[in-house]
Amino acid sequence: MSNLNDVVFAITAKGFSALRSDDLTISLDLRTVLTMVDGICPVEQYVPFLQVFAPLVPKFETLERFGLIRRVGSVSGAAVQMFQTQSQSGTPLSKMRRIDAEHQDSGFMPMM
Amino acid sequence: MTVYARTEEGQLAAYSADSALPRKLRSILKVIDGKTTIEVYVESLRAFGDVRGVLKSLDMAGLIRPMSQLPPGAAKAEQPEQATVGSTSFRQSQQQSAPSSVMGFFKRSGKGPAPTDTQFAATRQELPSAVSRNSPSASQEQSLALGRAVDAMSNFILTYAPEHSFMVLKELEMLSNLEQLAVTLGGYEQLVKHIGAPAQEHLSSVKTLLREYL
Repeated sequence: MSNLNDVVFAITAKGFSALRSDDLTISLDLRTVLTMVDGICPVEQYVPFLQVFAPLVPKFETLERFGLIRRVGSVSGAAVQMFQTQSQSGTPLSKMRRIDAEHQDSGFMPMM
Repeated sequence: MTVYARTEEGQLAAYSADSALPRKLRSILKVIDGKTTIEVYVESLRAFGDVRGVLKSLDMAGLIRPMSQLPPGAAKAEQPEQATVGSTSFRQSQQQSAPSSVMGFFKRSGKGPAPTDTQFAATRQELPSAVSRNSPSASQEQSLALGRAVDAMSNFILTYAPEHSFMVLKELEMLSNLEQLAVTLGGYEQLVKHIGAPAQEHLSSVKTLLREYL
């Protein structure tokens, strides 16, 4: 079973509809994570910045299962590993290198 | 009442082009102005879910801190380009009453606060001043119209330009009358017009609504 750390998600039409909806069909935590999905950042890149909502991977899984987000591609394993290394070595968050889909070193592969 | 300010780290994360901070969190970080209370953010940005949790996360990441925990002078103000606005009396009055982030919308949107649609601007000028804008019923109607326009714009931005939604919703919440909305519409138009046909239709409906009341 693959983990989702390298996957880039985007909000679906159903997801936008859920965000506009007043009736809370999803939990507040899920809604908050959903609003953060931007179509360029892999899941791993959210982790150090959304600590209150940890663990994030199961939330992305749930959002995908509900059809609120969809996969648009993935970054390379090396990019994820580099990001995790920065995080674990105590690199200040402001100095951590991005690994999003728009960054040339991310090895982003769009989903066909 | 908690008031957050950006730290040195937060300032770098917000404005460095290479920052790993995801873009929507970056937008949130940029609106932290060292003046607005957390309650205001929570109330005006309910659409974003657990705003308190998001701010707590930014705090845990060391990007913001409650003002009470920062040494004097350590809070980072808005970037000069965002804090600088023009000289109209309306914008000056906004500077006095609203968080500085409100001005970011006018600045980013390019051509200043005046509506760029000349037809719309001309229509406003041609309307007879005899319209009883100050009567209680007219005022009530205008308030309802403002609510309708703000709802339409909020829904549109959430659907078509969610990357701007945090900032735009915040600024829409600050509007207190239709005249303020008319002034901001030019900037809003600049922001959404690249979306194409849906934006044209949406802008047309907002302008029609404004024409009815101004």
